[in-house]
Amino acid sequence: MMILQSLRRQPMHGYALVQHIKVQSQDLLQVEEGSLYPALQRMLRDGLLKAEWEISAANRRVRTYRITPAGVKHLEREVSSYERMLQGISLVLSPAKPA
Amino acid sequence: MKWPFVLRSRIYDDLTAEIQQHLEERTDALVDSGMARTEAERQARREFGNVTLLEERSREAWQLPKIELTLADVRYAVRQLRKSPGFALAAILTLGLGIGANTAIFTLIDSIMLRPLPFPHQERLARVAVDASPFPKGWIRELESHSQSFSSISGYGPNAEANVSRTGTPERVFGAKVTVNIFDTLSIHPALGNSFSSENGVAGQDLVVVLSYGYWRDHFAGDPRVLGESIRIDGISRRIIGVMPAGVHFPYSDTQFVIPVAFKGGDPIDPWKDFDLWSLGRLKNGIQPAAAQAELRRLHPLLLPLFPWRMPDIWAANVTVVPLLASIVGDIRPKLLLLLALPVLFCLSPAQTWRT
Repeated sequence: MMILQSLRRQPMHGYALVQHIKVQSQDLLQVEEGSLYPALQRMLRDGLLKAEWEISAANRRVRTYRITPAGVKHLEREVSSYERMLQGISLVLSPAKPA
Repeated sequence: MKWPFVLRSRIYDDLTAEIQQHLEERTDALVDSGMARTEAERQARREFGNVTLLEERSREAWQLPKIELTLADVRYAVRQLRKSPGFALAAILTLGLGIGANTAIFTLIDSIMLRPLPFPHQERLARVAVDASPFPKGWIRELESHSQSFSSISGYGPNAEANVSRTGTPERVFGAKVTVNIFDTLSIHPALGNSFSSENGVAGQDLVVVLSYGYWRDHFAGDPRVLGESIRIDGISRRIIGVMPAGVHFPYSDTQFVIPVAFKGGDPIDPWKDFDLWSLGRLKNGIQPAAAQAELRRLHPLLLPLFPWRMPDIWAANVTVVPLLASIVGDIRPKLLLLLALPVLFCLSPAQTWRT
């Protein structure tokens, strides 16, 4: 979800994704490479992403990932179900109101 | 396969290049922050973790993992075997022979020990015998009528080759004569038709025959209408009254028909003159063979005078009662088990060699 969201904002390559999520979460989240690349491959396979070799701003040959329309749809579905889940959790955790 | 191999190998190449690029970029970033290059490379790798493992896990997205892993194992095994064909040949031969021998021996054990005889309560069937000498039919009849240990005692003759003809050319076929109570003793019922009646045990009413299942199936096409038909056995016309159950080969494995042992009514000599029957009895429930044997030996002096002539006292005095299965298998049981164990060891040996 975080990967898709990050790529929706801006196409990126793997290393940049790690940095991006780290910065965006203010160092709270660290995406491990060990999970990132397998996840990227799965999303490529499922057609949620596209990847192409490009030259980056720093003049490196990098493999840039882009979100596809299917990826956008998937992301929206995931986000809404995630929000519902959060809502449910916070309802359960919130102090009981007097009846 | 989900993805063509060509496409997949490109995906894998991309993945490898991409991870390499990731490491370089991290190294450069560390160098920029003031670290020495070699130290930075090490650091980048440490942070990244196990590259090979990660590549494998990333590839899994494109694979049917179990199948491909198995295939890879198979390919590896084949490569290893091709590297040392001598070992491969030895291993394959050893395994082949081992498995083959094992199957053969198991078949033997299965047929002898696991489901030995096709008769209900076969553990109550016992051979009544004296060394290797057969009995006359009168003796068997008297044993049966006097003994309390057996529910019935039957006799059967040797496997005799006979000329059998139905129409046209005669055939040589094995058959045996049996006492008419044989179906009771074995506790079997004919697959078709009837067993022998007690009248069939009287000369003149004995011109009947019961076919083996296999003979009926092969020579009469399994036609139920053969009942009542006559066939000539050694020139004597006999009416087919029944067919043995499938799987019963009695008295011998290649016996194709049985005919009744008949007594000539009113003839005092006839029951005693031919010593040509082997004897098989069914013990009553709960009677041990040893007890039955003791009883028969007690009866012996009382029955011996029934012969129309004087028999030597020692004739048939040391009769034995041995369970049928034990009399067939004898003491080979432990040997069979040992035999079964051997090929198993045989099969394990290549695995052992491989490890060393």
